[in-house]
Amino acid sequence: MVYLGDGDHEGRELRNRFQYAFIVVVGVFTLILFRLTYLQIIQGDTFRNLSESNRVRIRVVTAPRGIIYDAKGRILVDNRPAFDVKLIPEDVRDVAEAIARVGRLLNLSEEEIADRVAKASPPAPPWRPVLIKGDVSRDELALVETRKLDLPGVFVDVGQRRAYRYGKLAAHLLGYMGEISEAELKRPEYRDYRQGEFIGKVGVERRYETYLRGVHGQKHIEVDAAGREVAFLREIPPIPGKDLYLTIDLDLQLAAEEAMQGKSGAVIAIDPRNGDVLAMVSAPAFDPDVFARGITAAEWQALTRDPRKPLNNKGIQGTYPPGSTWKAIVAAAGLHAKAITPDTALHCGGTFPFGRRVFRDWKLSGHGAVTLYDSLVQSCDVYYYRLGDKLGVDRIAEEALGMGFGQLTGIELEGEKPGLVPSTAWKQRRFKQPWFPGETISVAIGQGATTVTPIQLVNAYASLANGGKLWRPHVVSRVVDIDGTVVYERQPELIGLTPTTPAANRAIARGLLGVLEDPKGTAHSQRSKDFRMAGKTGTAQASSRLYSVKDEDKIPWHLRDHAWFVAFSPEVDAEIAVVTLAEHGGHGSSAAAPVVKAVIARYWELKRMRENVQAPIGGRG
Amino acid sequence: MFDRRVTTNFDWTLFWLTYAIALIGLVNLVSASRPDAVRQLQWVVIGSVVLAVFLVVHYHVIGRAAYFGYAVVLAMLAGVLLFGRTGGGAQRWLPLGPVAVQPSEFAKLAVIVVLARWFSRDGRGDEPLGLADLIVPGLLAGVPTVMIMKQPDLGTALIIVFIFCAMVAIHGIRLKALLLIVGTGLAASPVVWRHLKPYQRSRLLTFMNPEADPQGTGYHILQSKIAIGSGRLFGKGFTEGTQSQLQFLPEHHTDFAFAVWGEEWGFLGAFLLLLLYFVLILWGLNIALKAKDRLGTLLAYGITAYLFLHVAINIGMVTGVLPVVGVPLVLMSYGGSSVVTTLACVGLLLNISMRRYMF
Repeated sequence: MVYLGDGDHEGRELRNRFQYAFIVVVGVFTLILFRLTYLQIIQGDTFRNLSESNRVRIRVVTAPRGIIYDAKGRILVDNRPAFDVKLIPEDVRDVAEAIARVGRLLNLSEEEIADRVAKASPPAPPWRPVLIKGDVSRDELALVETRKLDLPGVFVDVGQRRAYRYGKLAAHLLGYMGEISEAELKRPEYRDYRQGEFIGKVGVERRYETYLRGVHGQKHIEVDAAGREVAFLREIPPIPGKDLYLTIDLDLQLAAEEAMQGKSGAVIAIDPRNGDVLAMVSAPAFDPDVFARGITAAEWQALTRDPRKPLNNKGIQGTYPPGSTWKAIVAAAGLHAKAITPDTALHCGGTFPFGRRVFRDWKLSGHGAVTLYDSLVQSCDVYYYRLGDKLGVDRIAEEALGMGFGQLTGIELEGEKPGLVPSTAWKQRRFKQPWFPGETISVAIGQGATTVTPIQLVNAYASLANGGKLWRPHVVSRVVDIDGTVVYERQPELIGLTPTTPAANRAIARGLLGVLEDPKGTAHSQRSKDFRMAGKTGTAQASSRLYSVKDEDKIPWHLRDHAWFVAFSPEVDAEIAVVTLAEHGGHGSSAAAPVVKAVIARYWELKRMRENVQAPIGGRG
Repeated sequence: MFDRRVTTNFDWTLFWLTYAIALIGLVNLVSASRPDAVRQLQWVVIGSVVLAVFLVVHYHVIGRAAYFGYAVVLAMLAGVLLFGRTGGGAQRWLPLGPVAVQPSEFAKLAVIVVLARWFSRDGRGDEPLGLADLIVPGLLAGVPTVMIMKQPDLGTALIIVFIFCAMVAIHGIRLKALLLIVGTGLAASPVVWRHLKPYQRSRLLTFMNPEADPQGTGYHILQSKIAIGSGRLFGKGFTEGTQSQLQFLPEHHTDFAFAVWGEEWGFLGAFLLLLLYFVLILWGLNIALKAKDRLGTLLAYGITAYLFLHVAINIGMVTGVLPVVGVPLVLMSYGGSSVVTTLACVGLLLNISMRRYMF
């Protein structure tokens, strides 16, 4: 059969309609051809001119980054103008030669020059400026400006850099800025970031990046074929970043920094009533400005290779054996389990034989009949050997977990460590071994596998003086818009309540007050007549030292013990709690307690000055 | 099913026309976006395998499978709406193993086949269609159109509507029915306008007055016109197009590929490409006319309409005659789903063409 045959009526109808289809196709193609003729032949020269002279380029206008204030509204971090030397590859004939010339002028190393040449070569678009050296000094700026004629394609861009008003002050908490990495660029949260942009890398700068950054603006500029700016079209202004108000009190921070001068370790002061971090020092510190202007490889290596680890925020990232500061936690466990009452007297004869081992007290002659109060005041080891033996490791672990140890406090800073609270279950999991009762004896005085961070310790001690509340520590109190609108306000956040009873907390706090006020107290020398404070010393073995050295100065620095002191003031309804860890500092009372005392003293002094309020004074009888 | 005579009647002209355009598309992509050119080559290879399948299997078999294929495409479109991946402000992508596909591209072919099957079914004559005759085919085209509008993908939805209209027109429609449909369409347009996304509205408005905001929504059209126009007679040369190389042209490797070609190869290059498309489409109409049965005619016609609509709308769009609605230029724009669908269409055309002598 012949479909669509000539004689077929149906076929003829369809054929007719196909003729229309042909007409439509021919018609449309003719129109397109007319349009192309118009655009390319008739208007061709006009459009060619437009394409050559009317190139619109979009320059990003960086938004001023948010300012960081302390709790009293004093500027800690803001921005300063910075001069960046840049080069546009398409404006020079030999990119490598041009970069080498300006690079040598600015004292760049050969590697750095090679790096810039690589960044300026394809596939990078030739019209995109390449940074040769950021944040040049006034002298270097003058050098470039005076030789401008010899340096085609080179120009100076005024940008902005972070200005850290107090240098290394609170460096770990504030954090630092750095160029966004390739890996970060691929992450969804950095979707609208450009290569070469500076972002917060650590600390508050990182955690509050989205608030601080603001929204970049754009400048639309007409440029000619050579990339020269011809006309300014329009600007979309940037929206400045939002400002942060920290909980940190600059005066207190300065006092803590000064007290830690020359030491290695951490100081944290918090408000036990709400978890505000009032001061946070990690020593030694780095200089965030070095990062703001672009750190060199040598500077970075020096920081990472320093045995005192200046890049670590030791207050939240350092985990240390708690030493005798742990006794308050074991005491809480004992009271909680009703293994003791505050008045239970345990005998200390200087030694505690257990199995085939003999555990010694730090005081070889012993403390005699020891109550809870005496055990804390004199830091009696045997009392806690006995108590630990009665309790068993799991009841200590349970109490410690309830007081926030072995887990993150959740402070809004990166890299916090959880520390370790050993238990029978932990040992089985970790070593596939049963727990040996003898290990409990060491755990009871804060040695053994237990490790804590300073922030955990100060938070747990704060709970002894605020009715058992465990607040989540935090460093930012509010975020404020450019027009003063508060866009975020931090409310105190309760992690939980500790398992100890208020009576138990009071009994322990009384003992801790005795540590300073009682003439027998281990930190009696550190008491102040201006205010009352309750605290505990601690000495944590940094290495398992099997020998005894009389003269501590002869022990190598990295083998010396860590010194702890943690205290709150006053001993009930405390307003401030401070912890100090002096790495390899020796004894708690001599190395760490003076730092804590200095911070607390400064706190009351400031309060008196600001509010005319007297510190709760007075000793015990 | 497969016969040696088939090879003797193989339509080499259509075959070479298609691959000539694909080659031009690849050359153009090397200039516009090199990594995409490599990926596009991979898609052309995959598409050629699909082409072979659509060539070897008799189109009657494909016609019988029409509803099955249609159902699969509907399921994929539903999948896009449920857990599709977003790209460029719209949810168009369905992740399938290592690649993401755009089921809306496959939907175009599925609608062509299913409409051809419906209009060529036994027992009905060539009477012009009344309103009642349009209900079933209207639903067949309408369901995927609505789903694609939801993504939202205005361009693809429009293409399907136009394909439907073209197939109804070739079948013949009663004047009364036609007037009624056009009337309702005009009355409904304010409702449609209200359901358009803001960016779609602004594109339509910009189309009315493109010079109003050269830095905003009119930017695409203006830059595209500058690119094409500045190519003049001979073009700026391969990879020398400043408009595209300096990124003034948005989406220069996908919807605006023709502007890159026009800038770098000038009027002569654009004319050559246009000529190839023109011959391809006329050839397709000829295959439709000469097909040996009604199914073959309607399939070939629908496919030709598909090719024609893409070419006309895309080039109209980049030359500033039509609003920017996001329609790719077949075998020129980068896009795996589009390439595969186009080559499947060409396979079907070759299929119908070489079997017209067999009875």
